[in-house]
Amino acid sequence: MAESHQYLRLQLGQTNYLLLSTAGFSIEQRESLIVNQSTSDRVAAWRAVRTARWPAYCLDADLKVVRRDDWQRAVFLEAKPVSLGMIVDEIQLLPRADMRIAPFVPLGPPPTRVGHLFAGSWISGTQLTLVLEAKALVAYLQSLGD
Amino acid sequence: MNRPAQDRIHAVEIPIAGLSLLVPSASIAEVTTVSPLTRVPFGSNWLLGAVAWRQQALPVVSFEALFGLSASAVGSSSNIIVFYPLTGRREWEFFGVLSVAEPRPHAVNAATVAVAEADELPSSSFIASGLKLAGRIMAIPDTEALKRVFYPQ
Repeated sequence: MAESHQYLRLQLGQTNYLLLSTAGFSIEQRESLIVNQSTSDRVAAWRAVRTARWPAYCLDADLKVVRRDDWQRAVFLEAKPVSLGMIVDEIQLLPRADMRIAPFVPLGPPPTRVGHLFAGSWISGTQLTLVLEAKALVAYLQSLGD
Repeated sequence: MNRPAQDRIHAVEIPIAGLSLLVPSASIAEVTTVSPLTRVPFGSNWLLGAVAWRQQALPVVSFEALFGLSASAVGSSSNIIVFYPLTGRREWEFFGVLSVAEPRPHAVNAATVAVAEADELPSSSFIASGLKLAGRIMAIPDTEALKRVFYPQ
């Protein structure tokens, strides 16, 4: 996995999120994944590695699990005991130096055991993009199960 | 004869659906028109979303939803009232409240107001008290209760 000094722009449906990946990540095309044929499961696909398989989830713009088949790639975030993936419609690497990220913490109770899913925001013109907090995102994905 | 200025409090009435809030003018940083709201996944029902404001994300709150009612939809007369951070919070923790109409300034003094009875106000832990001003009931938000729900430990 590559160490990132960039932001990942993750497009889910029509919504973009940014992720500052202080952990490693890898991008995998659908062809290199095992698609889950069971539509009642939450896992959309797996990446098989030597001793384990890494689950990938298909999330909608509200980060809720959905099942759909019209996807092409997933991004996997390094985590223990296994890496976790998200199906994304588009992914783009953005240089950190070009971006001014402001702190942002959503009001109200955090949805994961390690805190809020968002830790910052990026404003471009009138466009607001929320910045995902990597540890909380991993905790959220871990909570999704099979 | 006018009362001494020190007896007067400058306040702002924030119209929400079915009620008005009354807050000190000094607690408000700005009043803005409503720009597109970005949804915050897994946010509480009273968190309407966030808007771009001064190069940061401003969370926008519905007081109607905090009171247990349906949140008002954004209308052509809606505004976002931007509040300074609550006491003890970080300097960038501004938040917005959605109004259904333009906020109105009031100079409040003992001669122009009466205390509202409890049964004239919605039953809510987010209301500290209320006043009758200009023939209307206005609820004064409880900032400590807001702090507890906004920033739970």
